[in-house]
Amino acid sequence: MNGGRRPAAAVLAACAVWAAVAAADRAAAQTTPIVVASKPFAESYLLAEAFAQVLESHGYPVDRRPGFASTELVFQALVRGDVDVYPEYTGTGLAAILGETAAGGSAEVFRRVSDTFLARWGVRWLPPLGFENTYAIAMRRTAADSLNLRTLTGLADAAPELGGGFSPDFMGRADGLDGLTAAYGIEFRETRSLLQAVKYQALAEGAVDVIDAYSTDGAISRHDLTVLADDRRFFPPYDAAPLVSGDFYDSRPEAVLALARLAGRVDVEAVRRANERIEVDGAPVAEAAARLLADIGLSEAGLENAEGERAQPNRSPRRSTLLALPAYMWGERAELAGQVARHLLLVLVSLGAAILVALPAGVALERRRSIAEAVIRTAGLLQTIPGIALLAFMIPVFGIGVAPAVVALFLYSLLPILRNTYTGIVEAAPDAVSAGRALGMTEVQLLTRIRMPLAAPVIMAGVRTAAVINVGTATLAAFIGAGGLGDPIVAGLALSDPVMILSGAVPAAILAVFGDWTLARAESLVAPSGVRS
Amino acid sequence: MALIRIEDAVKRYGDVLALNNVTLSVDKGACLALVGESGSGKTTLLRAINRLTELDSGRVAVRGQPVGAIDPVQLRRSIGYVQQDGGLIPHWTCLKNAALVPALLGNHDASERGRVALGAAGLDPATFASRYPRELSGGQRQRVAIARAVAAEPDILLMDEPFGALDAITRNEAQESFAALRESARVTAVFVTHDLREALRVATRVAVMRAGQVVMESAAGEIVRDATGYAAELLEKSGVAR
Repeated sequence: MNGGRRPAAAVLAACAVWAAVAAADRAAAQTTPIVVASKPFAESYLLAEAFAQVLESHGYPVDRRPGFASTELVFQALVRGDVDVYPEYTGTGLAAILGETAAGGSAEVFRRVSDTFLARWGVRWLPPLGFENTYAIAMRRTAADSLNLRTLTGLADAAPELGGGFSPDFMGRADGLDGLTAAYGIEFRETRSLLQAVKYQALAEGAVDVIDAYSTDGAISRHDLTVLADDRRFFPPYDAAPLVSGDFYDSRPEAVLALARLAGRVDVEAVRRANERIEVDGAPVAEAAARLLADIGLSEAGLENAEGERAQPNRSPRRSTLLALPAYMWGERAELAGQVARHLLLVLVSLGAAILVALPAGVALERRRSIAEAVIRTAGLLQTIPGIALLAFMIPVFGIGVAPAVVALFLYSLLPILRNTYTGIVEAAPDAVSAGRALGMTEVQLLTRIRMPLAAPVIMAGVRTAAVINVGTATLAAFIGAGGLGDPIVAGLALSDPVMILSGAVPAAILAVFGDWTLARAESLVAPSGVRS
Repeated sequence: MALIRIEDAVKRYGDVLALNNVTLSVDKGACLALVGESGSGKTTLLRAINRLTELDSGRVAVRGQPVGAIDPVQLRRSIGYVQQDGGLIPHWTCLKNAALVPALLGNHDASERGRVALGAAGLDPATFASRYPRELSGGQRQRVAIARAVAAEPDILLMDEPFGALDAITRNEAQESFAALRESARVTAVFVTHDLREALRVATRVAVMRAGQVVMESAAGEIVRDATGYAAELLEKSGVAR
């Protein structure tokens, strides 16, 4: 989005947006945005963007929420109706969601998942798009040639000498590494978990010898890799299809029909080209999606204009150097400003709520010291839950977006504030407190005149710790569609784009440092004068 | 006339009998020293007077009134209190510390009373009023604590090992100026100490405590003559010549 440089321009832009929205309002009976989500890899971004553009070309407003951390998270959100549609693969539905092993070919698997998903969750598989993106076990061509490897059966013999690097998703699922090693008897010398963004690099540099890739991946040709044939047909068919929520399917039939027009029309060559545009040429996802739709003859008037790029991070052509960062950030300044604002909202609301709860609780615990340790330990336990897991726990209760993110960040903030409040109050000049009490100060007076002023710097230090943790953890909120500076980080990780990652990471780091500095100042300001050192 | 009367005081902490049927009274204007080793029950007894400790059984009366019938906060504001470590409020100036009780009582001249009390405790208000406790020596801090205890001109003063942490010289000075202050303010005092010599310097009467009981009580001037058994032992330990 281009930011208005002057107030007048901003007003004009606002009027234009308003007029456009009003027109769309009249045109479409239903104006609730359709929530389109994706998983955190390039092709999922691409397909979600294609869905979004198709829907927009039919006059439906779209709310893009790309980059959900995992299959489980985005599927949960779909079942709850927080997400209306996202691109999924039949094999993933079968193995990762239903936990079943492959049974038959494409048609059987599609029938199996569509019947079961409908019966169990009311979720609908729309007809497959027309291409398959299966797991591809890949090696450097030179290494495969020197070992004369062509198939996974062959890999079983060579594996004890080889190191594998696999995405966390692949390592964790039944149709992933465990099933693969069982089916072929493959035992690697070692395996390690590698993010999508670094996997190809690690392979190219020889840090690992074998990786899991996607068969439509643009990077396979770029890095000159050999894909080993799945000669025992271990991997189920992975036909791509829009997965839609029951609510959406029932209440927006025309929109569903619009998406269904994609059925059978997206061929594997067109997808591979689009993936390459994104991953090799560094093209913006919106542009690659528009060209994909044009390639398959679904392009509509207006798709080529900037409209479709609005909510999607823009990408300059592949940037070879980090010197491109300032220019990129300047180009994205309006978008980044919005993300900073959202980030601050997440941090400040959760921090404020944590102060409102943990401060009185810490004070109250001083009177109940016998249970204080247990309560503080419980708060500590919350903090040991990994950020992404805590966010995942929130979805069944709070759905996706800002609410679950704020609750998760709130829980993270509790411990430092609670612990510091309790410690600060307990350790605030106990001899002065006992003397004050002996001379007739009431408990309230002891608290407000002695304990709180003396504990204030310690409490402030707790708030400061919580704030810094929050600024960092809030970047994970992008994984559940809450926005903020995590958006460019997650998108950049998915698209292997370091400049995009940094455009989120650098402002987040600046926010953390600035927040820390501000609160450090506040900490010394609240220190009572007689004890200030 | 007894200003403080303690009858059959019993206090237990778990299995430990801290006070075992103690009966004592303190006449108006007197200074009673409670002497004994740690764990003898002297501090528990002192704290029963202003209800910092609630007795399991027995009675405490102050100015003829059972303390159980007086609101503890009001009771404590009417009785001065000094503890061993001073317990000055660290982020308050000496003057604000000294004026604490008059301020709690809502006296408009609290600050003035604080100044007078600092002077009475041997500290020049012009020099010390605006200083913070951490800028003072141990002896000076204890004087501020005494000023704070007497600023509202209470008729009773409770002292819990007030000079226990001071070096010998400072301690002598503090004992002397306390004795002078007590005389001029005509305050009735109960003074806890483990040091019989100190008791003899500051008190008019001495009660020797052991294992929650008063084993001997007499006028300060007579204890050297009358002491037998444990009290005599304690005198020996304190190095008081017989």
